Parts: sequence; structure tokens; C-alpha cells
Amino acid sequence: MPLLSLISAGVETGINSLQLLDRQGQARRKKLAGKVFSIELKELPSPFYFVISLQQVDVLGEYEGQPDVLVKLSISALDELKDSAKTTSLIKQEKLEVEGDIQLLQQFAQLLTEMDIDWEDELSRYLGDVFAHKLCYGLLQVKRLAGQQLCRLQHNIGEIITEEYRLAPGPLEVAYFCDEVSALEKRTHATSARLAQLAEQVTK
Amino acid sequence: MTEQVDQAAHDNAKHDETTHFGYRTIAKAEKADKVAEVFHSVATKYDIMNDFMSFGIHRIWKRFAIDCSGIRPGQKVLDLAGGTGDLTAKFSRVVGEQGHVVLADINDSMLKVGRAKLRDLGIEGNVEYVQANAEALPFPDNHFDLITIAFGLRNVTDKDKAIRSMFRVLKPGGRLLVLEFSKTDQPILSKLYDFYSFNFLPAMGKLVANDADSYRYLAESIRMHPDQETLKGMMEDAGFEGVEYFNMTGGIVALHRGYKF
Repeated sequence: MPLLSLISAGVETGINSLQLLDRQGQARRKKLAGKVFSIELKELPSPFYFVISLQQVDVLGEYEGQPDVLVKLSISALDELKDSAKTTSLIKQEKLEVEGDIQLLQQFAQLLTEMDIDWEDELSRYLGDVFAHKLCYGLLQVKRLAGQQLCRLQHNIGEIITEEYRLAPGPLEVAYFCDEVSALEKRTHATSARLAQLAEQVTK
Repeated sequence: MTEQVDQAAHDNAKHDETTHFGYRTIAKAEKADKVAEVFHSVATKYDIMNDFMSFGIHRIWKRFAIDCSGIRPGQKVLDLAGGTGDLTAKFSRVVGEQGHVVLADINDSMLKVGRAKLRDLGIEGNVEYVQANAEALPFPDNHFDLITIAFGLRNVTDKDKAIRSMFRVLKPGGRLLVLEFSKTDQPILSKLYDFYSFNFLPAMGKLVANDADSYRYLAESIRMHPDQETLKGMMEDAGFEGVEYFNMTGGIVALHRGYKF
């Protein structure tokens, strides 16, 4: 069984299932229709080619034409691609290699990551309006509570590390240290300037 | 002695006039009609039966064929015996508006199902539907960049003639892909596959499509189809170069690829 064909089938099915639910999907695909993107994930042995058409996104394991954009990146950098401000820093950090139009790449990343899906509406087809609403409301509450708990946990762990076990400095200590470093930097600059002045006088 | 020669000549002539229809030997003239009967019968349930019988694996076989096609925007493709248009759908999207795909099948029931399915998928504009016999393709010489025939060649009466016809309409530099059931060389898999083919397939056909005979024919026709090396030789005899094949699922299916230079 060609493993790469199996992987590309899974990726294609997943993308297009979500694209079908995306209310802006067709409009976004229209902008990119006819474009071919080569995406090489560093974790996989060969690239995948994404062919965009009005109907869907096709994923090929091999493509003998010239893709419009060639990208090499790691899976961890995928989500950061949609933020145009981060693209340059990703390239500088060598997490991303691009050949072709970066704007096209960002549009492609938006196509895959910024899907406008009304999950409540989709679920209501199977569960009914009331149950779908309650389920989505419940999930939002769980997400909110989980976020709060996570923040609290982070805060508590931070206090344990800095206050109880003193494994790392607290925020005030860090601020004091930074102020001291800044003051030292200023004094060093002043001393350096004074030395340069004296050296100039000696050479005269 | 003369009688023996006459008998041999008579046997040869008889062999030239007959062909296989599953395990039965029939007159060549009858095969097209008999195959047509089979596909008229199964056309409406063809896709669901393919998924059911192959557990969906046929999609991976076809996907691998597409990966090996080297298809690019603007190219001309002939999807021969294209049936319900699984390959045509993808080719149409990849070749784009400047390209052209011909979905050809000898069976008008299959073409009608294929046309309806592709329209439902929003595929039109660069796809043409042609009822054609693979042995006498109604296209000019050196016309297509790619020809595919997926699970269709074993139903063709004169396979050598069909391959020669494909060679004629293919452009120099073009390629032919033949995706077809083949022979597995793994004894255990072979036994399991035989048991599945001759016991489960007809039963599934009866259950889903209310047609056990057509699916019995499917199992028999697979066994009568040339094995990997024989088909490779047939393609080379027709003029194809660089012929190679890729076994899938232990050789149950093979993809043959050849080039016209």
C-alpha cells in the first residue's frame, strides 16, 4: 500500500470536509484557483502538492509541473504561517524556507486555518437546535473555565518556583536586576567615552 | 497428415474467433455485448459496490495512479473506460481551464452515471464525454498527453489491439497508465483472496446490487487477465518504452506505466 497516498488521502479528506463547512471557503478558493503549493514538512520524507480549484483542494504525492510556491517548514511552524508579521522572523530563524510569492502563501495558510465554521448550526442538523445550543454553550463554558484554571495553575506554579523553592527569581528581582544592568551599561558607556577622550589627548 | 494440419488450422481459426468471458469461452463478437450487459446492470450501484468490495482501498489505488500520472495544467487527458469518473474528476481540477479531459467508456449507462456525478461535483467546462471502443479510439494520432485505463482493460475483447490504439492517440512523450487487477505471488494472500472473491463478492453483489452473476464475472475476469509480466510485454510489443509496474496490496492490483517516445 503506498503510504504517502494514504497520508495524502487523509489530509485531502480532512481539509475538504472542513472546507465544505466553511461559509467563506469557496470565495477564498476562488482567489487561489489554479495555484499549486508544494509543502515539504521536515518531519516527512517527501513534499505534498496542494492544487487549489473552485471545487476543492486536491493533495497530490507527486507533481511534475512547477508549483507557484515551494515551502519547507516543520509542523510546529504551520500555525504561525497565517500571521504575516511572523513570516520574516520564521525565515530568519530558519524554521521556514519559501520560494515564490509570500502573499500567496499567506492566503493559502488563511484558507486552511481561518475557516468560518458555525459549529452550532452544523450540529443542530443532527441534534436539533436546543440540544446543539446547549452543547455549544456548555463547551464554551468548559473552555472558559479550563482557560481560567490554566491561568491559575500557571500563577501557582510560578509562585512555587520563585517564592517557595526559590528556583528562579521573582518578577521584582528580575526588574531590579534589569535596572542594575541598565545602570551598569550607562556607566560602562561613560567610562568608555572618557577613556577614548583620554587616549585622544595622550596621542596629541 | 493432411487431416492433422487441417485440424490444427481449424483449431487456430477457432481460437482466433473466441475469447474469455470470465471462465467461459465465447465468440469474440459476443464479448462486448456481454460485458455491456454486466455494466448496464451494475452502473447505478457501481461506486457503492467498489467501496463495499474493496473496503475503500480502490481510492488509494486510484490516488497512486494519479500521483504517477505527472499531469500538469493545460494537458490533454483520456480517461478510458472511465466509468463513473473518479479519475476524471481529479484530472479535470489539475489540468484546469486550459486543459482538457475526455471521459470515454463503451457503456452508455456508465457514462450517464459518470456525467451526472461529475456535474454534481461542479465539474464541467473542460470535460468531454465520449462513448468509444478502446480497440478503435475515435481520436487523432498523437493527441493526448496522458491516457489512463483503470479496471477496464480486462473487459476489452482484443487487448493488444486496444493497447495499439492507445499508443496511436498518445503524443510522443506521453504516458499510458493501466491500473488493473493482477496476480499476487503470496500464497496465503492468494488463497484468502480467492475465497473472498468467489464466496463473498457474488453474495455482496446479490445483497447490494441484486446481481450475483455480474460480480461472479468480475472475480473470474480478474483470474483470466494477464499477469504483471505478460501485460508489460504486451505494452512493449505495442511500442511503449520504459514500461514498469507497481504492485499494490500484495499484487492484487498493479499499475503499469509506459511511455511513447
